Amino acid sequence: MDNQLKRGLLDVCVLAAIRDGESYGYRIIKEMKPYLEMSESTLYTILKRLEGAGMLTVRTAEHDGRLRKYYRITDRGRVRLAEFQEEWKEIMTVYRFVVREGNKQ
Amino acid sequence: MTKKEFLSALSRGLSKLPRKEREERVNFYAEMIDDRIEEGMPEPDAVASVGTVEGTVSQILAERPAVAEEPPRKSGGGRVGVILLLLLGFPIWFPILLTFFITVASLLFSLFVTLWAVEISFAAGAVGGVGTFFVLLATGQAAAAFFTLGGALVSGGLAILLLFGAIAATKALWRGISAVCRMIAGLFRRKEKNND
Repeated sequence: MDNQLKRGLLDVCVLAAIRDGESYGYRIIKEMKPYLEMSESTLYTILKRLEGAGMLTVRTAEHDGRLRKYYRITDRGRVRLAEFQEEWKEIMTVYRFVVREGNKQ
Repeated sequence: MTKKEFLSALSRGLSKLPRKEREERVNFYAEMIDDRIEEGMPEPDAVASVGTVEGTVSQILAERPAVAEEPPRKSGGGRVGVILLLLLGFPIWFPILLTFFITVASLLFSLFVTLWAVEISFAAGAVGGVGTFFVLLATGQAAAAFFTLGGALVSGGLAILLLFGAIAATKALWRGISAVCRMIAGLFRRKEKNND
């Protein structure tokens, strides 16, 4: 898969994982596992990128005697998710066209 | 491998990274391992599921976004040079600048005074002419009286015409002075901001 496309997909996947409420690193990885395998290193990079882009916020809270970071989606993150859904519709239209042309041959 | 061993080895492997980033990344892995242990996974398994130290280090270094190089610091040399040049050249540029400003101000002021002087002269000529007209008429010198009245009317007309010009010139001069004052004040304000 094209790196740029993959990067975009991973960003959106992480945003989708925290769409319904704040979450933490391990839970995000677990939730995504049935759909997409993601290493801790990749997740860290994506979380940092999304935080830098203002699409999520981070807070550190004590959990069971240790610190854990919680990630919450921002309005900008939700906008990105909505944009992705619109973009994907277009991609699917093109995909159907490509597949149809391919089948004719 | 225990969690502690893994994290120490990871920290050593990431020694090239800035301290803050290294700590953050190690803490991230510590949290990941702790969450697995909390879920009931034995510590060695939790550590193993995160991956090997070597693999993790190489993946982090490969995935890490290239850190933008710090822009080269602006050397203060140029600025110091300009200030030095300004200080040394002060005896030359200041009198020239002052002379220029005084000349321009004098020219503008002369123009202003001349314009209003001419305006007042024409107006006075008109008023005086009308007065003389009545005096001459009363003394029976009708021809001279009407000639004077004609002159007075011409003078009055010119005074009215010139009045518009004088008012416009005064306004323009005022705007010009205000603009120059604002410009000078702006220079100082910018300097203050720069000093902050």
